Amino acid sequence: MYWEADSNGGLILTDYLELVKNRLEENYKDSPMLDDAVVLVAKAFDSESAGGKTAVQDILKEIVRKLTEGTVTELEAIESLLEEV
Amino acid sequence: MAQKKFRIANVEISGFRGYKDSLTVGFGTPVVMFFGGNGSGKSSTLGAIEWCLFDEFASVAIDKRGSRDELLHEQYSKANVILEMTGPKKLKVTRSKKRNKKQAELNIELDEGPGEDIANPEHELYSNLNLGFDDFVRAVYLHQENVRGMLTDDPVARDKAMDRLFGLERLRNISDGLDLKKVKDAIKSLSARRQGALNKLQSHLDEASKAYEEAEMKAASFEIPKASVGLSLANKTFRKTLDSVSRISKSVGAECPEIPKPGSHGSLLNAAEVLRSSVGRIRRRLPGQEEISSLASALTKLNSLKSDLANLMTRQGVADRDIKSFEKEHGSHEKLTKDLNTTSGKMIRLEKERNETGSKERVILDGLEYLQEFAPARCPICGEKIDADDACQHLKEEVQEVVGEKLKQLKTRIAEMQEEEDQLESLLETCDDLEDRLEKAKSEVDDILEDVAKELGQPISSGKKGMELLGRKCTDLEAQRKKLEKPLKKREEELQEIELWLTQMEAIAVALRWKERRDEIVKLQKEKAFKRVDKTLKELGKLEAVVDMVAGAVQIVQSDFAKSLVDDAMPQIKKFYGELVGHPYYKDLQIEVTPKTTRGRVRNSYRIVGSNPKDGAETLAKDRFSTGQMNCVALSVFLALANKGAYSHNIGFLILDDPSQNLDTEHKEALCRILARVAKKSQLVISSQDSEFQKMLKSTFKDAKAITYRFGKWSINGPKIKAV
Repeated sequence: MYWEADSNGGLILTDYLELVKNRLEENYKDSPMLDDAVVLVAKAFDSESAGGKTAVQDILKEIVRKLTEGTVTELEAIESLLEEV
Repeated sequence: MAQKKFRIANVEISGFRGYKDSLTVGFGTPVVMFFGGNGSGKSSTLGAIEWCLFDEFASVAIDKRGSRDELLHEQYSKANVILEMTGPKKLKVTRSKKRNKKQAELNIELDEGPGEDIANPEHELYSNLNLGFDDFVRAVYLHQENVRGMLTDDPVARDKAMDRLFGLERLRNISDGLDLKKVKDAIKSLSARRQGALNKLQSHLDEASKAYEEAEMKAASFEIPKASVGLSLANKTFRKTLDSVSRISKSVGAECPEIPKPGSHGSLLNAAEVLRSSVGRIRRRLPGQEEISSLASALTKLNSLKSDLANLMTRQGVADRDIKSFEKEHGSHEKLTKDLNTTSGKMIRLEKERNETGSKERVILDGLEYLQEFAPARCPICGEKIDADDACQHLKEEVQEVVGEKLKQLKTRIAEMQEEEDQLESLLETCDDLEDRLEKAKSEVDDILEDVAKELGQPISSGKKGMELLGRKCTDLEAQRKKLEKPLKKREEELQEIELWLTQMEAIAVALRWKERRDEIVKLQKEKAFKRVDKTLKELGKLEAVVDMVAGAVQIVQSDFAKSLVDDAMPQIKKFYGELVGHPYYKDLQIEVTPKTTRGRVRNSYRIVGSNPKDGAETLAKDRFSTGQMNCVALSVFLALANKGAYSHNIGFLILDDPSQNLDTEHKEALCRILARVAKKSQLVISSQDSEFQKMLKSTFKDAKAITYRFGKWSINGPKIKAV
């Protein structure tokens, strides 16, 4: 039950981040990628607060860019070598 | 007695949205109503409360990534909102933001004193209010935009509006923002490029391997076994070739090349090229070689002359034979000329005779004409009557018949002569051509005989003699050449052997070149970059899985949360729906939440169903409900959630921005009845631009402690607000 409010009075302050983290830990407790997922979700929430949906898209773009940047350059170097061979 | 929950005492706004100079709006009553037209500043005033508490302004889409200067009045460099609340304690919240600064500052003051001592004002504020922005949107502040989305025909927009009503917009944004497409595209693009490069490498490798194999086979054809193809054998061959070339060069006085030991296929090919040039030089420097070359050149020339002379003599013979044959058949040129002259003379005479005959006929006929006209009617001698007309006519006819016959004969003769003349002229033309041809052939034979005479150094009397002398000379030169060539044969054999070694060197070099290229390609295949690409692809795959995990978890929370809210609040939603809509048939309402994949993303889909509790009949709200009734559904959801939420958070006010959109009079009356009840528990802040609804609200709260603000037309100096 996510909504804790009841007639006895409960905490309504909804912390979606905690809820999603809990869900991840519950569903993927044995996954080696759990830690990465927790980091990503925290980043996503931060970005959403700072810039909405677009900012979330931007962090994903940025991660992809960082991952591929050097590799693409090296691949281009090989492609260039291949043209010469 | 202190209130249990926080209510708004007043709001002071400056430089925020349409507000310019500082303006304080008092909220010191249980009911606060904002009346005014569109764009008069009502929503900005309500939004100022939201921004002050949460640094959010949900009514307008603002790009949060920028400095959010849309929040500021265009002529102000700073927005400032001070919200004073009373409740369990006094709480003064101040939020301000400067132009070009993204971050807004928050300051709170409590009963205890000024906010400087509060280390984390955001946390302190939330602790006091006991709710976050999502809860605020869900349970305190009904935005008109959330209702508006419910009134459209677009199911996606309706689901989005429901998500907003349930305070799930943040999760929806995150779910939408975690778009796997970018990751998938990156994986696809990188994989394609990696595969493309590998394919290209494989293609190059196949080509190089094939070429290497062919080069090895070619080397084998020069007696080099496959196993021996290598720089070592190439260098041995090079060494003996260089030694032989040096030795022979020295013996013939030719320049001896200095070539370093080849270390690669490239230098091996260069060395072979240099040595080949040396062999050429040796050949040219061999004793007697020049004479042989000179003899060969002279022989070529003489043979050419001999061949040309033979051809021209044949041509002359043919021309001579042709003209003789012609003369035998048609006679000589002189005879033909004579015959032509005779024929021409005959023709002239016949023409003359024809002209004269014609003239005579004319004279006779003219005489007869005269007689016919002027002859006396009677004979002057005998006086007998004369019939001159008949006689003349008879004579004329006789003359015409005789002369006509003569002229016909002459014409036939002339035509015969003409034909004969044409034939003779044609034959003379042919005879001229044949004579010209013979003349030309003779002239050409004479010319070449002059050349032959010059070449042989003696006069030539005839073609036959020329042929005989040329034959003799060629035989003589051939004999001389053979005599000179005999001692060079051994040297030539030596040089040919060197050339074979050079060919072997070249074959090895070509094979080595392809082997080297093949090795380079194999090395490229093992490049670290490919390993790094594989590693990146693995990391991207991992990212894809992580994003999928996170998006999945967000979607589950979003869906479970919405379901939980619906389950929990449904009885109250139904109650408000029954009271607000008062539908004559579909008296009951059900809301079902199911995850649905839309545009590649899993989102909450809300199925809103009206039903009749008696007969169980159902209808989808979207199919049968009016926009007013859909607004009632939205209001029911909000009021139910607000009512539920009132148990736990510490906010004792409710904000409804323009809640009467598309409602008819009965709906508005029902809403007023509900609001009257709400106002007994919470401070009610309500804005409306609907004059009918305004009247109803005034009437509803006429006995309550209420304040109404009339918003006039907005100007650049800010909203014109008047308490009434």
